[in-house]
Amino acid sequence: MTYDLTDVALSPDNKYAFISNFKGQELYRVDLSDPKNPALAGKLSITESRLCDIAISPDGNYGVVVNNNPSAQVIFFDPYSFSGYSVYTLKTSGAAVAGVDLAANGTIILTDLWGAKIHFGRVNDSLNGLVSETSLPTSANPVNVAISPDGTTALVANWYSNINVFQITGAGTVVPGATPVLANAFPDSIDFSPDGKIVYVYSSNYGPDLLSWYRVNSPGNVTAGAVPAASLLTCSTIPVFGVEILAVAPNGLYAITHGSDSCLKKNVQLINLATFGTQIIPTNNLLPTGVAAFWGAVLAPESLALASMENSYIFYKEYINRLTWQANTKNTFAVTSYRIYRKPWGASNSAYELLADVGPWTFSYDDRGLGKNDQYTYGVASVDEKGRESQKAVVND
Amino acid sequence: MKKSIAILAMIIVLPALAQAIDIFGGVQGGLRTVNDSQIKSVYGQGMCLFPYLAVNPWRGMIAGAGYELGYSKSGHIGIYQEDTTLKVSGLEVFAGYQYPVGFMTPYALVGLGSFSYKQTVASPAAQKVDTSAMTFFVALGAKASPLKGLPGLFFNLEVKYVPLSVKPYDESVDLGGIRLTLGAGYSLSF
Repeated sequence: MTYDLTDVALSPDNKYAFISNFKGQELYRVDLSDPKNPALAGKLSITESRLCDIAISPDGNYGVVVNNNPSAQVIFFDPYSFSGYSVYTLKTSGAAVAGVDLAANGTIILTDLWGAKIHFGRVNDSLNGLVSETSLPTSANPVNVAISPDGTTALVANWYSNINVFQITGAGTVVPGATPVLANAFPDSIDFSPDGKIVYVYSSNYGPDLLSWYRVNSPGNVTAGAVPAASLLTCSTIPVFGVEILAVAPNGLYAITHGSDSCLKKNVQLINLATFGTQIIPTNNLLPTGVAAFWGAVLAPESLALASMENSYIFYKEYINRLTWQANTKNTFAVTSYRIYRKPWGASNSAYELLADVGPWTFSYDDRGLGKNDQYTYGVASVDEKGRESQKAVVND
Repeated sequence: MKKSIAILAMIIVLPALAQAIDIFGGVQGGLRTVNDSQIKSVYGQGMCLFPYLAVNPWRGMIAGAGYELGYSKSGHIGIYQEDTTLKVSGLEVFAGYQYPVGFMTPYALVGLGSFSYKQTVASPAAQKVDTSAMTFFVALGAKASPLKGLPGLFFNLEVKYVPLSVKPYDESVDLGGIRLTLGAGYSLSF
């Protein structure tokens, strides 16, 4: 097996990291529940090589990995079952997809490196393809794309050129933004501040690499801040198409960049986003490329159990499902509440309805007033003090 | 129910057209037991009050009608011990026979009652229980007129058994029980 690890992406609950192997035709999943002891938790052998950019949907229900072969193929996978994948072929034959990002409303944007386009649409209900696939031109060869946290603004980095701004007006609907924003040469990777008001662009400059920033005024409307904000390296790195080589920390105070090529080798660079000062951090990887900001996992409660009960009112009975669970002691941050969801037996996950949001010291919930023959699947998720919600622990009655 | 009342009314009225009758009325009150163990556990035994009016149209025959009230109980019910109330009342018609023995007049009655029952529960899962059911009942008693200066005044002691099985939803509940009552009344002869 040839190992040439390129990009990394995290599940929204930070339980898993997904890593693409550019030459090895494999996608790896690493369990980060115990951050000090990450463990391989599955791999997918994928027929396509040159796997690069990975994106996980904000709800964690699906992931996408692209390869920049001119095959027009996009690979969908389930981050949690991680048991297989689906290949979707774009309508534009020969498209070489380098970058991908996903919005909460189901919009997917893919950069076609050599076709100088973005392809976009809405991810279908089966989570394995696009609906209403459409294309728009870019100013040059787009290497990467990033969508704002609110899912309304997308920036595309064009190799050797500039940035295109797009507005996402609906699920799968994208229109050009106000104006292309000139960036430093060779924009490569883009990331938004957690509040979505600032967007940072990493440029590998064939000189000192640069970090610049832009203000997001409104959906699809972005203007330049002070440029450049920081000179990152004394030498330059080679662009890595589609790979996230810049990650803003979830607290918005820091960003981290990769150490690929000859400049940093085993090191990565930490940037203080208030002062734009930099700090070199050593790693044990030969050439770290993709980066992701790990916040610490928010994990589902443990030992979720269900007891079916009858409550007699003498003339009639009330049927109750009593859920009980235990706190997951591996959570990085304090749990502030538990959310209890319910869906009919056999229904898709989109059928989950929120029943209750209970406090952190509540470890049971009674679903009352049920019919005698009602059958439900329940999910209980932890919400931590950062407002992040874990995947659901699931139980059937 | 209306048909039964009409028949009983004819039994009372028709003989009265032919001869003098005694009309008497009174109020009885006392203990009311409940058969159902869950009802007993949640609401407990209760009291009842039974005002009535009756006639003695011919020989020892008696017939009348009354209204039983008084069983209105509160409690806590179910897993969550939620507040609950139960009220049971009944409109009754009856007929029977009395026979003087010394200073006492024992009597036996059979009757038909329409009993309303209403349960409330302070619960989001509560269902409406506010309906009625009909049942027959039997009663044995004795009355006496101890005051010679006031011969119309009488006192009585009565035991009545009312079977009342209801099923407003899936569960059968026995709302029946025994009434052990003492009463006082007054009889007028026409």
